[in-house]
Amino acid sequence: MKNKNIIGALFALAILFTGCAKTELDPIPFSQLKGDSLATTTTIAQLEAGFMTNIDVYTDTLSKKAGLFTADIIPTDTTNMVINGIVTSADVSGNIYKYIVVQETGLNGQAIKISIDAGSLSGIYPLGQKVSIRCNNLYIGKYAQSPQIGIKYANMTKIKVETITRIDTIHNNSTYVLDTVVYNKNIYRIEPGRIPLPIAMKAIHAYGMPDVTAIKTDTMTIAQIKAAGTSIFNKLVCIKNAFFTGNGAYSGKPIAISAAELIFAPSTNGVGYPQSREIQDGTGSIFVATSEFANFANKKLPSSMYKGNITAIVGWYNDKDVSINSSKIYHQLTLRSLNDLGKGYEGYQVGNN
Amino acid sequence: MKIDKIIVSALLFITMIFSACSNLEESMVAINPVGDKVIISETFADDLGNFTTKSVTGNQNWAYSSSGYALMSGYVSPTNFANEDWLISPEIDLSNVTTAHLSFDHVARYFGNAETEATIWVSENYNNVDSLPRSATWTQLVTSTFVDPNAWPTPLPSSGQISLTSFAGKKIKIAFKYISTATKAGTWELKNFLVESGEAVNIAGNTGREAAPFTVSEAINNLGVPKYVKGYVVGYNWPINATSNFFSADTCTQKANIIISDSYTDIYISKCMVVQLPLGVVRDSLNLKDRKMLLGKQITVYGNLGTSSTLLPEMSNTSYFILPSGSTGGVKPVEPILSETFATTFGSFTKQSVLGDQAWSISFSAATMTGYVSSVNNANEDWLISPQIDLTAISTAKLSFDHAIRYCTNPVLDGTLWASEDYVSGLPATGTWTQIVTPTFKDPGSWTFSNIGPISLASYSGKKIRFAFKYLSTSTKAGTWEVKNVLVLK
Repeated sequence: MKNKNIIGALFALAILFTGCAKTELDPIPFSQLKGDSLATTTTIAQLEAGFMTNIDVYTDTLSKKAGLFTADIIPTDTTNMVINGIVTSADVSGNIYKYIVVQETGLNGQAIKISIDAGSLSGIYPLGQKVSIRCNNLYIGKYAQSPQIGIKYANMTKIKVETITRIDTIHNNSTYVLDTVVYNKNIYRIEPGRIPLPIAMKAIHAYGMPDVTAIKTDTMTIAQIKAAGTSIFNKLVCIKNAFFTGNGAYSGKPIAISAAELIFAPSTNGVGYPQSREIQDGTGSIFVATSEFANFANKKLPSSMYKGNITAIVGWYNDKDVSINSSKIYHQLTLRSLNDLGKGYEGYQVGNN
Repeated sequence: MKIDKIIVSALLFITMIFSACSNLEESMVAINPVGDKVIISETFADDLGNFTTKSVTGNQNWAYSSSGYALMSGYVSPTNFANEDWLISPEIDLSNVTTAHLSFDHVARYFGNAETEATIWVSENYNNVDSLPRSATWTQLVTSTFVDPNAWPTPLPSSGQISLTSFAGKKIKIAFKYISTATKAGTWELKNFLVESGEAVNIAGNTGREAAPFTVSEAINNLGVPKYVKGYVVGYNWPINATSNFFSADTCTQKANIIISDSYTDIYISKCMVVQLPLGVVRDSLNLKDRKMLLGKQITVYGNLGTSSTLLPEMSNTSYFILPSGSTGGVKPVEPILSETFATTFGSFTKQSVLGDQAWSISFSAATMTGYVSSVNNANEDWLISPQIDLTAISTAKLSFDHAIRYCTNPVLDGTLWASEDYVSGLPATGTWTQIVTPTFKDPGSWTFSNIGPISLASYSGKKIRFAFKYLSTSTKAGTWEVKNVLVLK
């Protein structure tokens, strides 16, 4: 009988520990359920106009204003700089990594990438999540000429050496003299870097339940996208009657690729750059860029037989050209998942399942 | 008691299992590991990576270009500077492979003699990156001479695969050696350096002639000449524009064209070619409005390869076809025995320099020879020799070509044609040559090409011969001879 009591106690203990398994189901903050936003005090366009400069000491060491890689502070000691928007990105498929895209919902609203040093951000800021972002003390800048909000980051792998010649005081034979001295100065590329997660969670206030139906997608042709200028960067668009040509890209131009490369993103042998595939819609050409880490990277590219709706986030990548080369395509569309291939791609989707 | 202990142990075990089910964070895992086929890869997209540079002579040096490649040039406008410069790879470990090959994308332009000035070398004992290359032993890698394409290509074309199997089992360094002179300094751009295991594969490809028609992909890369192309009928383009491509026969209501591709299952418009169907038997036999059964069938067509207003590659003047059944239609083209444009390469012609430093080169889309360099006349004897042509069953062969010959002492003597039945390779003197009688060559007074021919080769009927363009110049007078569009017809 005593043994049975012990066994019973142990059994109860087992149940207790079983029930104590870490499930980390944090209760939804009441403020989220309540749906409280922070008052909008500024817009993405105003932040870019007010704080984002072209100061880029790396790309063109003479002018220092090439504006391809920049990072400018949004000051702390000013009015609360709060933007509001809705999350249009999703990283579940692996094509988006360590950033979210927030799109303003009002008329003429723009969108911007927020770079955050954490994976699985869709678990915190899912698609359709409304957010208020207090941008003070964050940095706004350009990465390959595309605006982002992040922190100031000096890329130690991108170094140029600037030779500076100046008159300086030097010690010569126990005396000090003025002489010409040549210094080598390391110039690192300053970029918008990833915001540490704790800081990001303080700055980004999610409110309300995610609502994907609240996401507004602009239907545009490729020609319209390319003519829209910088205001289209990071916005969610839908292109109708779009098809994949089977071309890849090289140096901003469509090129033929081998049969083995007719997938979204072949391996880069550890280098990790996204790879582009050309689409057309009768008005022009543009690239869909995919990471080799996307779960559809190795899926066969839809044949040109499929023409339909392609929804994507409009990106831009120019890491070299101080003056835009009109013969090159800098736009890079990012699919959130293969579900962004919509009406017209049903046959392709069936073949992939 | 024993059973009780077992039960307790089991319960404790269960407890441990459940209490260990802590949160597992998702993590980004690289799905594609680095392939073990690649031994070393350097794109030069961002910098020179682990390559080192050594400047033996001259102030210029191999450097990274912000355009995304390694660059060396001894030409600093407007001056040519003498240089010897090496771009040396890090150690490449072939000790665990039995076969290997090298490839890279590059262009070499404006060299005086790329054969000696743009070369690739391998060393097994260059170990001190601070020392000059001559401190080690280097073996030259045999490659074809790099030909100046007369334009800056985008993207940089591939070198093709160069075998490194002779170095298998060893640790080596590979170097790109650049030489320039104060007279002529070329420019060498280089990217996507790649060494992989496996033997070098050189894909000969099809010729576009009846016996080996181009695939559609090959045709797209060989626009500008009439050729045979074999492909599957996959649809049509109507109304004629860049995007009205229909991969169906059921909807076809026009007869103006069809689309062919190398595959009828995975169809990509970038790998398709529109085939114009001129009025007549070609249109009647190949259109999808009346011949819907042709969809998905493989046909062969002959016509001019080019682009169209739709920007799609297009075959125009389609004049002949072969159906899947083997039946044919249209006018069968007369295939040349030999056809060489010299637009970008010497093709299967070879060159031999008997005298002088100058040599035949490809310049302005023609084979060009001149002994006149930097206002100096140089004595030269240089031969441009055809591949062997088989006239054993042909009694009416005719040779023609376009040329311009200028500034010679006497073009009749300085630019001559010769034929040999026994020459194989090497210096021309190793064979017996007889002169081919040609129309009198004259300096046209301007760089205007004239067509020479047809020159009868009937006297060589029943034989296998090579013919050659022989150039002469002296230190007093050195002319320039440009030749293109060489054709031998039956």
